[in-house]
Amino acid sequence: MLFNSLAYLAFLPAIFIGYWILGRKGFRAQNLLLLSASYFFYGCWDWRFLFLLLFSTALDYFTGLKMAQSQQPASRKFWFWLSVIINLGFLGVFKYYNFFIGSFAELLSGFGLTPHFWTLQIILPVGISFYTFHGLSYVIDIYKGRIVPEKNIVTYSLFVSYFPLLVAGPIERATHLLPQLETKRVFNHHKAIDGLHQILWGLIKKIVIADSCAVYVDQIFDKHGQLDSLTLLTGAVYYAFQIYGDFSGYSDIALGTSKLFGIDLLRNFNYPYFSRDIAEFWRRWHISLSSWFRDYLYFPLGGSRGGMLMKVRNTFIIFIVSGFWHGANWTFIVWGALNALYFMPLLLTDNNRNHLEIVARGRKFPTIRELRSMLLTFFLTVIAWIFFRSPSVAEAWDYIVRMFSFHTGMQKLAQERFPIELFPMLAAFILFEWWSREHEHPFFGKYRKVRLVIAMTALLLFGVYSEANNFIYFQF
Amino acid sequence: MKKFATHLGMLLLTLLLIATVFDLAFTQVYLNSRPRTKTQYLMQLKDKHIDYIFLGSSRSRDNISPDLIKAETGKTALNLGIYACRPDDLYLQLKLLLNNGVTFDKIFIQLDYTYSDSLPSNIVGSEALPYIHTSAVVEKHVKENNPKFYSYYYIPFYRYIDNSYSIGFRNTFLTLFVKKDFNFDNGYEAQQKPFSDFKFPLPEKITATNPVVEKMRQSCAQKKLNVVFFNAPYCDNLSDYDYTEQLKRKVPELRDYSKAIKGNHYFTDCLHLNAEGSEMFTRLLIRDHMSAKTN
Repeated sequence: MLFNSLAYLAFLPAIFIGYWILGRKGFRAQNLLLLSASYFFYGCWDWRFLFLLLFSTALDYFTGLKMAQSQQPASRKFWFWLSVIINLGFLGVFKYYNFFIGSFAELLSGFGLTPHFWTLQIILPVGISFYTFHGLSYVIDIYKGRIVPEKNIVTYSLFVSYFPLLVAGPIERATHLLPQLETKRVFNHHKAIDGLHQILWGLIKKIVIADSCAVYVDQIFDKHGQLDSLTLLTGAVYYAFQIYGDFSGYSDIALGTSKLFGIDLLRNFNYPYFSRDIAEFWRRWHISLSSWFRDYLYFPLGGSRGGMLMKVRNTFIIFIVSGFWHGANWTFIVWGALNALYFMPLLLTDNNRNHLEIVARGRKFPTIRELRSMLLTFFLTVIAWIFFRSPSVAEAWDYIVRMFSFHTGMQKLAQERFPIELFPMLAAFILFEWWSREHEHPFFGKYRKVRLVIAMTALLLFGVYSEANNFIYFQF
Repeated sequence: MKKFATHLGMLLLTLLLIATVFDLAFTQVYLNSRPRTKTQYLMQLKDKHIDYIFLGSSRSRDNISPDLIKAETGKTALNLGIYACRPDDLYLQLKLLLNNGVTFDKIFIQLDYTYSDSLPSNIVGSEALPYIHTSAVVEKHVKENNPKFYSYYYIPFYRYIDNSYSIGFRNTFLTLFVKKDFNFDNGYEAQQKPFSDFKFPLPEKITATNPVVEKMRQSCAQKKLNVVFFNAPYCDNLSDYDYTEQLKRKVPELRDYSKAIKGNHYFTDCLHLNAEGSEMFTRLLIRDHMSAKTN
């Protein structure tokens, strides 16, 4: 069931009404309803994977309790590693097995050997990377003594399987979400209306921006060998907006939906394309994943303690692992490594925490310098996204080489589409985002109603509805 | 909760209002603008006599030249071939022609591997949706074939957003402001691309009966239309013609031209002729089915 489908349009109000009616009976009844709804929501994709989700939930719930009960450090360690190994084992088998086998076979074939390994015809369970990371953060936090295990299995299961975040995040922390699930939620109409507006803005980002760009991006990337430099540049820029609209749109719908139930989720995006350097970009893009890697990988590796060499090593590790988290393909690894490279000058000159506030706070316009920094950062991310989008590193490289061959002359795409057609729409979108950069969405203040009408008009006029397009991050 | 419900109600009401306004505006554009697609052209084509009409997919659109027919026979011809048309698209086109009082001496209907496709009209069906309230033929056809009929008919603007690839904002904008450089009195699109070795094996099995094709055949027989069902040429790379043999048993009156043009250099790919090939094919059709105008 997609957030942008008619099925969800029926599902959400039904759960919303039931949830607040049950509110009189207490939060446990609400949790039970949300958990049932979450399993139904997940089962709509493929009910067989529910068993995997249930197993993963039971494993972390059980090992969490066992760790807390253990008197001996060795016993705690045993339960901790049992959970980590099984969790990562599942992720490894379902997501990475074929990649490792294929890469190994390719390596051996380079030596003239022709090995025959088994590859598995497996479908990647939707959301496995997200709920595995939920579970991992929970057991790590218990092991480190940051939290005590949740005793109520319904509450814990809901923490792992809460439907707004189940399939594509944000990756929640037990310290943030569990306390909210353990207390009574009272209906707050300000929060609910805010949630509704955030859902609307998420739909705009997904259906209007991302799906419109997707039409052009698919054509340009598929036929990049026949197209000129400007068209290729346009395609890469469109992809930057497609992936932003798609993923941040999803996150907005998730956060908005959750607000309808009186539950706050972690903010996942904070206007990343207004970043002035790549470090700021990573503080604003997929925040829940970046902070997860920071807390559970970068810090344990030593973080920025130790010498410069250690810092550089740790930075490369987290960017490459972060890339690999996205998928079993060298393109994601190169994407991660490229971002680490971008990061290096800032790290080496100790300038990686220069921009903590949103750009031009309290001002209408950025300075020339800020504008230049934003454009440069955006350009760097656009280059990196080419690796993210391409099916192989070789094709991404070919795309980039052709893009810089300066072969000019815009060509028409299929259905008489001019590559630059979307520029006015994207310009309007950027303006909307710029005006709202100190808020979560544009529907605030004096002109809120006008913006709502414009947004609804855009949703009807420019939305791509011919088919409900899947969210890119579901594949991760 | 009451405040929230009121706010939500206001949002939905505003959305409904905007949708209604756009529905009216878009419909007016399609009813009153110069046609940009063959479907729009067909909707506006009324009470006219055309000697020969061709219905089919891009294998008709690219393969048959009405200008050559006119030059050779002195008779008028119209190529209504549309890319990726299904039999149900052709059936809707046929019904619109008859309903609009368009008369013809002979109608050519292309039938090939699409015989196995009995899905509802996709191309013409979606392009005709702006006329759902103004054309009884369109209304009846969509009602009988499309499960979304009631949503299209009663929910303002739904038909436009659900078919945004063909009648959405972009196409409506183009219809209103950008005139198509296209000769609708002809409909032929000559292809100049060199042959690309595009592999296209015909399906192994043919569907038992295509109800749409059967309805079309019955309709032609009842109205005593002079109809030619034909199969357009394939390139030399296609070796297995078993599907075509099965098709000929299903539609005995089918005129099979699948092997009529020899030489891949007459094709742009295995399904479509280039300009030179289409001239040869048109001449074959003239020879077999058309006569010169006698004064």
